[in-house]
Amino acid sequence: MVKIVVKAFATIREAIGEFGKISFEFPEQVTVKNLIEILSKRFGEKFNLEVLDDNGLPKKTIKIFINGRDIEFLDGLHTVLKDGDEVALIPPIAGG
Amino acid sequence: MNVLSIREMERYDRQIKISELGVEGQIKLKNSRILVVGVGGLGGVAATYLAMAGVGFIRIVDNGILELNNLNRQIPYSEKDIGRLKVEAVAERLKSLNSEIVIEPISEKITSRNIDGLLRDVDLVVDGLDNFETRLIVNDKCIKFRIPFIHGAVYSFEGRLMTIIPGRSPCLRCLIPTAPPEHDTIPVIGPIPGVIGCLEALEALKIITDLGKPFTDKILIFDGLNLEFTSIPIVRSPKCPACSKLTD
Ligand SMILES: [Zn+2]
Repeated sequence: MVKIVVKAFATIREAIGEFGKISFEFPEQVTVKNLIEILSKRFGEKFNLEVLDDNGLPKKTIKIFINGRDIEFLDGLHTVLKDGDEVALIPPIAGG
Repeated sequence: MNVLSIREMERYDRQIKISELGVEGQIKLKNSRILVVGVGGLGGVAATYLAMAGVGFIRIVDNGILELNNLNRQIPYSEKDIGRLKVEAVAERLKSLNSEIVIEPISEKITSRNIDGLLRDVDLVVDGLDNFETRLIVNDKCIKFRIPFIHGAVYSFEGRLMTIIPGRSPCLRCLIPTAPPEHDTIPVIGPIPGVIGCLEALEALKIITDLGKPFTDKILIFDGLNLEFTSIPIVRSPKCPACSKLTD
């Protein structure tokens, strides 16, 4: 089993509810891309609006970190998630 | 100005007693010049602490007029200020807190045309803005003129903080290359800009007095709902249009 914790911030937290923290257990390996697809199915339109661009991929402005490391410096969306990983979805915010 | 008056020694007594700061640090504050861009939730708090700490010159820029819906979070104002220019009301408040410093209120919208003038002769900039576009204008010019920029932002129960030392640490554009779509009104609960505005003022005071370690190369996320502070490492983007060509 692969246990993953997703922590969502700001507008993505609102789309997900649960104070932005949810856990998943997968029977097999998943990539970041798989995880986004699963979240998209589960949370629907609200999530898609905040996270996905016109091509159905995460918007460039959203930072995705695994255990505090930017996936840009791992394998991007193809990064394979390991048991115990914490995935953070961080959109930019602008309030003052 | 290399001395403090008797009155200044008394006013700043509790911070002068901090062994690392002392009279020397206080004189650095007295001789420092800070620009606070935007005086809402973040900028209002930060400017208040900077004034109380004895920053000798504070330029505040905001083109807003105080509205009733500002008063859930914007500390320097009262109900009687509704309808007034925000910079005027803040300047009055800060002068009433500390008559020994200079406050320069400027009621202008920050654009790429007036930003150079607003940055003139300042040592540091504190971010109190409420949109991406203006933040990026300020970020880019701070990089160009090598002025430290303390970035803060809030949304709902969440706050962010990042200190930018041009040429040395990642800038806002390394993180957000182009401005995402803006929101008309941004939901926020008062204590969040309170916390982040305080941290911005603290960063500014540390940099001016050359004490401690500036909060660079990472972004702080303050999650008020779970009361968690997370700090996430950020690296300089080799493709950053603002800072990639700048060296230390
Ligand atoms: Zn940069």
